Amino acid sequence: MTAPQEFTAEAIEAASANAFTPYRDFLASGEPYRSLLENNPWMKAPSAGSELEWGKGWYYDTTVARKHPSWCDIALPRATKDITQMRRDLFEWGYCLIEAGVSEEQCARLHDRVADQAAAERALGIAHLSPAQQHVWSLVNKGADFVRCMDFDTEAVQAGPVIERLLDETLGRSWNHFSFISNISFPGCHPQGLHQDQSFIAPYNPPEAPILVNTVYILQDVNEVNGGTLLVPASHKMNRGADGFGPLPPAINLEANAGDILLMDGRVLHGGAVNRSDKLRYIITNSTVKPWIRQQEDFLLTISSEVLANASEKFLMRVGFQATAVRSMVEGYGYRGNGRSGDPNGSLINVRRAIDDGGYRHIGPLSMDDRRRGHPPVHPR
Amino acid sequence: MIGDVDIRQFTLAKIQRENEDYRTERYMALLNQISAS
Repeated sequence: MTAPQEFTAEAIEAASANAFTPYRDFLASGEPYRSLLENNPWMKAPSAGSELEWGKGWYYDTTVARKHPSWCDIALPRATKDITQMRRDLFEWGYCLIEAGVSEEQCARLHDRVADQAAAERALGIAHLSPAQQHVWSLVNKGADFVRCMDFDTEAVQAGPVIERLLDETLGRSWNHFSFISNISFPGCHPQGLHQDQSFIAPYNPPEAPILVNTVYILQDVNEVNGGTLLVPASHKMNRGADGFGPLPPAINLEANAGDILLMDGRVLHGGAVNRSDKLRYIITNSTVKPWIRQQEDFLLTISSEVLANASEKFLMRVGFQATAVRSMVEGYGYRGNGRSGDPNGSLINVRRAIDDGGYRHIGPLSMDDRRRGHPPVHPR
Repeated sequence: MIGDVDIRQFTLAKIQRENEDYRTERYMALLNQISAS
């Protein structure tokens, strides 16, 4: 069979020169980082292996807000237990700090578990290492407290109900976990480039609300010495849409105590800071997103059957095991699902368990003519 | 059954049978109506 000439690769190529392609410029715009670096050359990340430069105004050469000449007179977010203040801070500045979001004892448990896991992964040669950081992925399988954190269970995170409420209010109640990992910054590390956690949707830039909120557990005191997180306060509101970013104020080093929790709007410009101490700097970071976003960690495949065996319905929903007519259907199962916790019409945990048991049989090509064609009979398993 | 195909071999059919709660009488009536046409 010969396809019409207009459908050939050569014909398509010939018809595409100087063609009407209304979205090409937008998709190739490189925003928001193009305008960000054009208007703020001091934000350029140092190349790997280069010497860091101090006293020249680079974004990473900064300090905590109360010592920074541009920020010291401004009432930036401080750690609080007041949810009303958190709401205001998250909206106005793009982040808030929850004072003692984990108790001293909870913080020590999380720190020790992640430190031991990270050390064991290094010792076994299976660590995920970059020049600046070690990443410990899939914490969900690496300790019961991590699962409890994802459930916002007060046994592991005493501010769990506050965080859940703020996530519900910011992302809508159907949010999903995006990933849960640890970032461990080496002494003397280079800084991360400033970025938005939700820039995987760039150049799309919904101005109304974030599509991602990051819950960052701070496991030791952070300051201008060990770096903490660099961030540009209020930068979640500074992208001007088609015009991108203009000149921005300087970044600060986050200042917080061990056990505080940072909640950050996915549009805030931030990055890991230079660690000028002689100790590893640990955070664990739990991003949550609108449920139509593909997850950074594919929890449907990642989570071990042992963890799934004891998982709550709420947990299963939030890691993506509830299908609806617009996401995650398996062979049509889920079309009637409402996406809510425990809904039997889209509960993919049933599919995952069948796959784990072995021999999941998919529906393939079928025909009413099967008998006439003499196909061998098939038998139920 | 369609010919020699027994739907019980398909894992989906088992999952639907054991879990979905929407396969009401109306669904079965629709199925019969479509099958008869």
